[in-house]
Amino acid sequence: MDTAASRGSMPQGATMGIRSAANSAAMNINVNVSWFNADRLGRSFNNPEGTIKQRFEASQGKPKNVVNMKLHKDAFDTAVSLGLPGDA
Amino acid sequence: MRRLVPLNNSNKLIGVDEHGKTVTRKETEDLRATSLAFILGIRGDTLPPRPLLVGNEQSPGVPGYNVAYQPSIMPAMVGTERFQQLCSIEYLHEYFRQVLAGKTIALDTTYADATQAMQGALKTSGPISVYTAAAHEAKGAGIPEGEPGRPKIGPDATLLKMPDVAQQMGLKGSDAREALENYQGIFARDFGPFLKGKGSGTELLNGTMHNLPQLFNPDQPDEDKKYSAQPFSVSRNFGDEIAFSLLDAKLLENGITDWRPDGIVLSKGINDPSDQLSNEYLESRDGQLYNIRIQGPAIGTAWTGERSLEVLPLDKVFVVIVADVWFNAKSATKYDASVEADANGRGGRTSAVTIADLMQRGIETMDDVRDYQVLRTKYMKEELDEAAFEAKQKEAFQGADENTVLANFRVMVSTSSQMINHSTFKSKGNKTSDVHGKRRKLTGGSRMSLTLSNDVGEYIVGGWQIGAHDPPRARPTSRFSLECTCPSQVP
Repeated sequence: MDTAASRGSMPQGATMGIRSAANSAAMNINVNVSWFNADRLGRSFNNPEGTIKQRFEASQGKPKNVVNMKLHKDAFDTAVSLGLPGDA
Repeated sequence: MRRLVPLNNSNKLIGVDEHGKTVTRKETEDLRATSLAFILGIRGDTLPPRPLLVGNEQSPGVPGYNVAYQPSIMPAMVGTERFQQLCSIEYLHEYFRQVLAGKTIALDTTYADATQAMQGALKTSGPISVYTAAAHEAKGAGIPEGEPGRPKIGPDATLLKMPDVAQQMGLKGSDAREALENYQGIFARDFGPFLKGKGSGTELLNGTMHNLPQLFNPDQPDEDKKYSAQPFSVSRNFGDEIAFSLLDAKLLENGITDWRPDGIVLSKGINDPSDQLSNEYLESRDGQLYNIRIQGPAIGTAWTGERSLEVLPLDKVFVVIVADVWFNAKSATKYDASVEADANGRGGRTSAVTIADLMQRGIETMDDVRDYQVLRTKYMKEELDEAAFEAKQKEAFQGADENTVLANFRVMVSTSSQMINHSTFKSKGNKTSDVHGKRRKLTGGSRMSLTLSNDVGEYIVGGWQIGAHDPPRARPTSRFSLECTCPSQVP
């Protein structure tokens, strides 16, 4: 196990390059096993059009594909019949 | 939690690795401190142990996978000291290949058929039981079919196409009843790598007007028969939730969730701490005792073993179930399972089997699995016609009848960061995605490196959160310390 993964210095104070052995780095996991169905995984983490950005990145817009817009039935049908911008 | 695991290798699986070398996997041989342990949990049926696929010559005579069926290694112990079976993820990969490779789940199964085949216990909990109870109560109150407050899932409703049950359940004038209608059911044609519900944003709606008690049947002339409903809330996408709970039940019945994550191995314990000889005696005769962290902090190692997937503080770590989704299996007759001979004239084979055949009659033998893999490769090699896929995508969303079937289940480790940062569909990445790679390239990849093709796509159909990466404690900041103070790792 790579216990030196986060060590930035020798005990005497000399700095050194941080060793990174990603395959064996120790990691503290707060275990809490629970089932996520695919819908919950998708609603929590799916980013199909790359519209979710990191906190300091400016958002570049909203989903263009109608199936990602979470529309009601009538709105979905209207969007499909009209062909939304960016919609093939 | 202490787990006493029988000393037993009768469930070993003998397979062939990617280099053609024969490998033996025993349930616990790869379990060591810091690794994730799976436990043989509840079974979706009372059938005998799950057999290996017919024609498997590498692991002959494996009797099955549940100690309840193996009384010779299951003495009559009760409570926490009873034997429980654990396995490693390495064993689980082999278990999916050799025992579960033939499992298929059709998503166009009707609600009636799916619930009829279901064990009673599964029907009396979760969204299915809520729907059943609501329909029963409303019927008892004398509400006619189709009126507010009486939900009905019709005979043509399938996992892919459910009615808006939340709207049906709402009483007259309530938020639920007044909500605009939603498409409901499992949407299995997304560009993203997840099966997902068709519903709108997640919210809770009041089922009675102003969230106050309301008469179910105000028009009832007989005062004694008037029935008052207490205030209740209902999930906006309750139809989606019913469809996904049916899918979860199908996963259970087919054994996909036989082995469930138990926790992280802390250490192998000592059976008799007071006496080394006694401990060795118990160890050799009875079993191994594992200390498993099933809740709370544990030390693990880098989750995915992938450099580009370093786990950062507060990331959640997952084990997800991936399957091939055949969008319309009945029409998948384009290719057969024939294999062309190589340059030396070897390895050729003629077969008329198609995906439509396999999905109709089931995958039951190792030969079927071989045919399936040949066919899958042919379909996956096709370049995705995105415009055509989008058009079919909309039809599917609106409820087109398709014979959507899940097959070729397997497990994969993942993290929340991977899902957010790498789930975006990219045309170029999808073209270069390696269908068979043991470790698929993520950078520049598409859909978490899962491939999407015209007739089939790899999708995540569920998963277990194992836990969250706990942030390390704040680093020492005294002038004597030059420890790394990487801001991304300080809480």
